[in-house]
Amino acid sequence: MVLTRVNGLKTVYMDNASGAPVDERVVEAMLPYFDSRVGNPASLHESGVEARKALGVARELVAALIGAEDKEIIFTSGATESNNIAIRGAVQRKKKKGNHIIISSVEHMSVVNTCKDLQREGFEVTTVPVDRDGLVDPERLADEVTDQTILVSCMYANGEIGTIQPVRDIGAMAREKDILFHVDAVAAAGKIPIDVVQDNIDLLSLSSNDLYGPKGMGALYIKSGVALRPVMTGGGQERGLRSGSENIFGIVGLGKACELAKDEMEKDARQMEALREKLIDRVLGNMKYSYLTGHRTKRLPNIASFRFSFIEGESIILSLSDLEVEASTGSACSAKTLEPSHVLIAIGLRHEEAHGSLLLSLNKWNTQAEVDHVLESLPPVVERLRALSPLYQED
Amino acid sequence: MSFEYSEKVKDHFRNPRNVGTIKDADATGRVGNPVCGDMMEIQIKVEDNIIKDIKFKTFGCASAIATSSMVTELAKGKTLEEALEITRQDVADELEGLPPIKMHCSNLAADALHAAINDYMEKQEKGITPPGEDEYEVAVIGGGAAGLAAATISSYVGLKTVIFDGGQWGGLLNKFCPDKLIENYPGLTDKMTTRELTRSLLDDAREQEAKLVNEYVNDIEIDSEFKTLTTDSRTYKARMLVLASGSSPAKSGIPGEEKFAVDDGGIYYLTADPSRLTGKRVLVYGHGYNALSAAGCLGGIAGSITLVTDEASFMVPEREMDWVKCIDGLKILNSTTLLEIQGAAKVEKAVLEDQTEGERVEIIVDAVVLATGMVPNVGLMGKLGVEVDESGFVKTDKYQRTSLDGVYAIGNVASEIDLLVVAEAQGTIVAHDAYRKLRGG
Repeated sequence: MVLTRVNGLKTVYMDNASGAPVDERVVEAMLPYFDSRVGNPASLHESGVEARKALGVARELVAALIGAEDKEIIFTSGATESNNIAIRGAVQRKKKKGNHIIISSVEHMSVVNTCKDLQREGFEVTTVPVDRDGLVDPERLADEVTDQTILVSCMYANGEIGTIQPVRDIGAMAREKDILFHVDAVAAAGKIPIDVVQDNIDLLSLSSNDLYGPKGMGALYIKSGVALRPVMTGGGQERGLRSGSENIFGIVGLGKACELAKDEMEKDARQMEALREKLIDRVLGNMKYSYLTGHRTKRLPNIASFRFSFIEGESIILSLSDLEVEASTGSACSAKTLEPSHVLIAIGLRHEEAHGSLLLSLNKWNTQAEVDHVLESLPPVVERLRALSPLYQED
Repeated sequence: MSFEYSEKVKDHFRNPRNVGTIKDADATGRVGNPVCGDMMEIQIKVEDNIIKDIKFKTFGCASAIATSSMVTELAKGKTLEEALEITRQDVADELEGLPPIKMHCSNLAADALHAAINDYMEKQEKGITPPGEDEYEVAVIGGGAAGLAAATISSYVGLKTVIFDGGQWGGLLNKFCPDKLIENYPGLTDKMTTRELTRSLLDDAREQEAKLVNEYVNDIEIDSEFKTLTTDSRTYKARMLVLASGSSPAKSGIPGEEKFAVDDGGIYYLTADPSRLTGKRVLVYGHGYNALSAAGCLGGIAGSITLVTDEASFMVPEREMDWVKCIDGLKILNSTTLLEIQGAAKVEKAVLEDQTEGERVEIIVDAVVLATGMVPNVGLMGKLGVEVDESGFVKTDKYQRTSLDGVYAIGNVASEIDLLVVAEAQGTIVAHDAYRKLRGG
């Protein structure tokens, strides 16, 4: 097994919101569970006990990252599953009380499409708009509450434009009105401090890879006393909410990733924020017709997101790739659906504006030199594409 | 990326052939896909029924660019009939295939070629020779807020309109804090930055199909029927002329200004690009909103900012002052006169006098930004004898008409009022007045 994957990367990798490298300390923690530690936590023998212990330790580590208790955490296969278990489980359980769900317009597709599906089952869904910076207005959200409202789901922060939501205020409102509050914290976890108690959160989804843990692994926090109806049925693992033999090495990896995140988040965030600020300052300052997407200050430390007028994102990405910079875009041309990112449309961009979006998402290993390389590579790429564009008139 | 491009697509994307426009093109084809947002423009030059030259411009993804490039290669040298036979499939085949998802969305190049050929054939049938488009009903000089508003609304009411600006579209809008939200525009308050408004104004002008010419007007002649305007590349005629040429920073006359007002000498005016002052110790001197804004723009860029005025205050609303006061490292000195700017080869210090104490101080600075006033850019019109007032602004009546028949003046060339809404309103008034005059009978 190769352990130096981070240093082994051949490119300047700034597409970490799509997939991040796994910390080698996480890999090390996982390795024994591939060969010497083979047990199933359900077994009675010594290997089984060992696996149960590992599961318990990981659960504590995940809980500690978000200020929860270990019994409030279940393991899942990732953010999409966590969001499904939380949202479907909550509304099915609460449907006698009401049938109304409120979400923001910048939620992840696993929230948006889950709610769309629930609409077919008779649930009502209200999507609250965001402002130009991508912020939800808690008062505006509160206005949408009816006596039928049973769930509010709003992400902690958006991984595409970086905007951090006023989660605590929304949570307080939901708590006061006795409505369940689900938070998709995939992009925020490990980047900024989260405290499920102070933030008044009932359900919170996490993804392992966004914490430099293994892919295909996630967790869901379920506040004590909150009951969900299982989405899938089976052997009753994870409090009956996620049946199936535990992915023990994934769980150990996620636990280790959470431990590292808790210890190192502050330092990592400070370092990424400095790089992010340099990217933003230089791009906006030196490149004409460049704009920031998302909020200027209420922003994740690792997200530098832009749009450039008159040009298209896939062309930017491929050109940057030629210069060994890997990033992503919300352009329709890069999507399987040929639709621009719904997040960019939600913040009020027209299709052709969303077309020119560029997302640079940093990881904790990115360096000043890499940022400098991006800042050198980007202007000629944009200039070349603009020279090709019929929409651009040179000033 | 969820798909892979062929080497040939990558090659045409990286090194597209036949990019650009043809100055005296015989025909143009433009197609767009509203879902995707792609846009392609192909121009052709035809001789003896053969495509002699072909150029393209494309806004879109790699496959949109590669197909455009390929279609120009395929069409060049072919007869019009042969070129009409080129299909989307031919283009894709020549590129060694396109990802299935791109076959429909970003494979419009053959359509653009056909549109150009059809445009050519229509013109041949109608006997239209391509030039001769140079006659307009309204010509606007100056692409700031006032000029763009005039051009947009003139086009909107149906007048054939051309607008000229040799510099950057948006005029002063680009100069003052392009990323600051506009606060004093009813209905738009805090919704847009000046940069975004500029973009939006330009979009509107294009949407209404005003002709945008990115050239300076070098010469104007006026006769009873037409105003004839000459740029570097050609001549335009228009029935109505709208002067929207704005104003420029005035010389302050302060000792030392002449000496250092050279490249890198250290004297700048309020319209300078703030990035040139990165990390410098800057003194901003002048009056009112202009001085405040010039200083405000330097926040976070200049090393230190000393904002000085010889008046008792800047006479701007409190909220504007609050904005500037929040800037780190900014110091404000009221009732203080800048007596002289000194230094060897470059600005090194400024001599100031506190009017209340009568005390003189010298401060060490690397640059001085002057915002002591603006002078209207009357330029060519002055030579044609348009009447100006004692401050040099072009005199106008309530319809913005000047002393010359069929000539209007709007924005900062006609008044010192520095308000975006007023500039745009004046442009709008002119468009409607021109419409009444030209179409009212």
